[in-house]
Amino acid sequence: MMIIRRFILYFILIFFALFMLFPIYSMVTTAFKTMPEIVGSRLTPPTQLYLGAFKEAFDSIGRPLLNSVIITLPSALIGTFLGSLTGYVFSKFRFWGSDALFILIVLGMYIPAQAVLLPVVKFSANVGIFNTYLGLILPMIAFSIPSATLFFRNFYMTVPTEMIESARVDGCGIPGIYRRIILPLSGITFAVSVMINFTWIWNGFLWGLVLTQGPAVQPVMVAVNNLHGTYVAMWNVQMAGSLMAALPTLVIYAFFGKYITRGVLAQRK
Amino acid sequence: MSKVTLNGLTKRFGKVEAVKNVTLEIKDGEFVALLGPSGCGKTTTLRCIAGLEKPDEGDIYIGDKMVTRLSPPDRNVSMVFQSYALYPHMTAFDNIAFPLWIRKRPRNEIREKVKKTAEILEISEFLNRKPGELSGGQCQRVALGRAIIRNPAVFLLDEPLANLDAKLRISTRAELKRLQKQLGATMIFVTHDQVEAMTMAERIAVMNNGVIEQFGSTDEIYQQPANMFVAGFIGTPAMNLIECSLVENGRVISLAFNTNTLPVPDYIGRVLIKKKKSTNVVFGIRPEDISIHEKNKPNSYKTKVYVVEPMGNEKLVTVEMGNTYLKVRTGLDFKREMGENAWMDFDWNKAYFFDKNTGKTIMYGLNKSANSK
Amino acid sequence: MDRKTKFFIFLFLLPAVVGLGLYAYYFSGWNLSISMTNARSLIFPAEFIGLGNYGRFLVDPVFITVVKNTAIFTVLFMGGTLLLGLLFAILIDQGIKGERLYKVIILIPMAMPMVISGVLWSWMFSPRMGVINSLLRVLHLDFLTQPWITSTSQALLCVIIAYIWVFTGFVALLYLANIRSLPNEQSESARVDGASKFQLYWRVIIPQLRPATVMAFAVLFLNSLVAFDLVWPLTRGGPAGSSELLGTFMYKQTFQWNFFGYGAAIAQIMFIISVVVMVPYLYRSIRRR
Repeated sequence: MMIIRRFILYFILIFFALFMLFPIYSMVTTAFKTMPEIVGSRLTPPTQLYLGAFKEAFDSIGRPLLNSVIITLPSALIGTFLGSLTGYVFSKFRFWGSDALFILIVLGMYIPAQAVLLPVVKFSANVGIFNTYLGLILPMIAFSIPSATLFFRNFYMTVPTEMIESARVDGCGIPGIYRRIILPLSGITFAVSVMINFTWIWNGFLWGLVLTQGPAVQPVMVAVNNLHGTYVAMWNVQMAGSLMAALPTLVIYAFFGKYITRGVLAQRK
Repeated sequence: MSKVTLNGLTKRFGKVEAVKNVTLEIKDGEFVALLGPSGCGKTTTLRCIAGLEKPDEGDIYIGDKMVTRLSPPDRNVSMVFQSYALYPHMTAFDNIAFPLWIRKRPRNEIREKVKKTAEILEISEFLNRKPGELSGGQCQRVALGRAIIRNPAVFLLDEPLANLDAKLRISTRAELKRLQKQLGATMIFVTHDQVEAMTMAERIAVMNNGVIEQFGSTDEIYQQPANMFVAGFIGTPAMNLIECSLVENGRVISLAFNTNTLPVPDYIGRVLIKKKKSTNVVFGIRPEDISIHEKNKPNSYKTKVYVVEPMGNEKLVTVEMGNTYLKVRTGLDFKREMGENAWMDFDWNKAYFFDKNTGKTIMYGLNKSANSK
Repeated sequence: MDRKTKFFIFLFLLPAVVGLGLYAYYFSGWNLSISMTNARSLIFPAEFIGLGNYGRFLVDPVFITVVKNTAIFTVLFMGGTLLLGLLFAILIDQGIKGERLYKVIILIPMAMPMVISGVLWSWMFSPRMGVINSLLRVLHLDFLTQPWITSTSQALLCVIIAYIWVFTGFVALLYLANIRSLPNEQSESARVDGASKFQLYWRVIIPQLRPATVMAFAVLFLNSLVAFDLVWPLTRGGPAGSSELLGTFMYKQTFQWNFFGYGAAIAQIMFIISVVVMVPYLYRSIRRR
């Protein structure tokens, strides 16, 4: 009796897991097939690892891949860094309006992109940074700050105040405390926050869509969407492009996923 | 209500044997304590009785039914957990009603029974509150109510008083005892507090390292400890235990330790020599069985006062004999201070002697002997 | 607090204040003002029309359809994900071998970029060559094949399914964490009292899962309100507006038709809705500080 129940349990769970993995499986197998192979069967793995689709896709998304790196890395790093400064302040200091300010900053996470979409575009055009790296990096930094702030604030609150006070008694000013005590402690927190920000910036689509035109500055997600539009029937190219574009965040998830999920859950509290 | 019998119960966790070959017979309607330090296996034993752990060897009987293979709901036992395990989203009423509720008993029956149970436990006014709104003591009574309402064969309680503050603990001890008598219930509870065990239980199973050191009434445990562990565990302050060797000097037999030689009364000395092959024993005497005097008295030993701890109604004096320290309970008349001399004598009727290696009691005063090697 | 400290606090907070002040608050204010004009061009100035755009919402049949679609999508997506997530959390809680691996697997959809998930699912749902229909044909279930994203009646469903695929694993893990955080003794006590597994979950465990539900709700709602990245490659909001959601509609109005004022008004509505839903949630979490 128990055995039947167990069997059903595993059956349902495995079915669900297959449902989760099936599109990924499809993406990977299709990317390595030739078009005739795909026409032949959509479900079986490729007989050989054909790389033509990758080459073709890379022609279209190669430059955008580079663009994404140029945009995402600095944004994630700087945004996280700024968030750590802000989080530090809110974790240890209370002053008139600090609570309100904190809320206003964190609220920034929950503002729909659409609510500022057009103004950002107009602003970028007016200032002359439309369709430039800076035009994307600046907003991405701004939008990384709220979650990084929350993340770091929660972390810094766990640092015993006595440690810091003893440093102050010894004569350390704020930047000194930050540099000598806080920063060294935040190693992992910093890394995790950078990875979280990297992931959502790299995966982002809408902002890249409205703030860039043409392959010069276009991030990879926009390029993949274009690929989807232009190579309509050539699914292997689409899949190959998708796979390449998704690779960085999948790799980050594979190695550091554990820390990221913990970080995301902690942020939400 | 039923009796509970454990037969050769053994439970292992990985390589560790938490419960080793435990055999116990608990009578119908008895109030029994499983007492011991943490890690001694008492909670594991309790959980085995409840059915929350499966024993590796041995059998468990509730009444005459062998329940070893049965799952908890089939054993007709109730358990009160140390944390009470109340459901925070349900009112006290619903918590108590839970066991009946899940058996789909009719509403009126449930309401009746919960009311009655609440009256017994004096929590009728709190039935509508949730556990978050109740004090620790009230929560405990709700947990008890939930256990009582099913009228089980056996009640199991895991450290029932541990989460109560000191004052509440004392009043609850008495209440639990009364409740048990009132219900005529077979109750087995686990505790590490020997005062709790002594005041509430009719019989105590003292456990250590997965083994039952002794199972007996409070008097038996206190006055006739089976071994050094039990003797040292029961009683506050603890029994003084001194390692010494037997020395025969002509017709006088003495206990020698450090630089001291304590002659013992004839009748004791002779039994000791006869019983012991080697000459090493552990001498035990409770603080209340030592008298201490400011002046020399016949047959008393000279010692030095090491420290005096006034307790309000009595004094706890630690005396020093060479490198050995003994604790003595004495009245407020004793006025000697630290560093001064004092004379003490023992009530040899209350002396205990243990085998140094096995810990077993060789003999105790009053000319009764316990098991010897 | 001494002056040096004040200075550094100011300095440390400056980037955040400037950055968010500009990109979040100033620009939303700007958006609000745009929403009250009939702007159609980036160059020529526009007239102020007050709440005219908002009034148009009530009469524009397309907008009403979009709201209807978004509502249906939100309800079905969130309901489906919450229920499935809860179900699978309970199943996983029964204790399975390889639980760690399993938890990694079900989070993979959420680790994927949404756009790419959109491309993937458009491949899955493609009627002629798509994977799902191919699978059905291989299983000789030809009669079950559907037009999927090419059909006005099914396109929205495809979006819903894709979104459920992305988020169910995450929600399941939220629920699982909540379930596991409940004291063991509650389940043990219920067991000793004779509760069946079903009664245990239904009466004891599920009622205590509010924290996970609230958190999941917040995440899912925000994502469904602004849904764009996944929808765009999948259906573009079509065919014929059958899967047009607020996010895609706003984009089209603003960047394809250049109805800047109207688009800004749509964005403002989205902003207001998200604030209305999020404020109680945030209020309660900040309370716990």
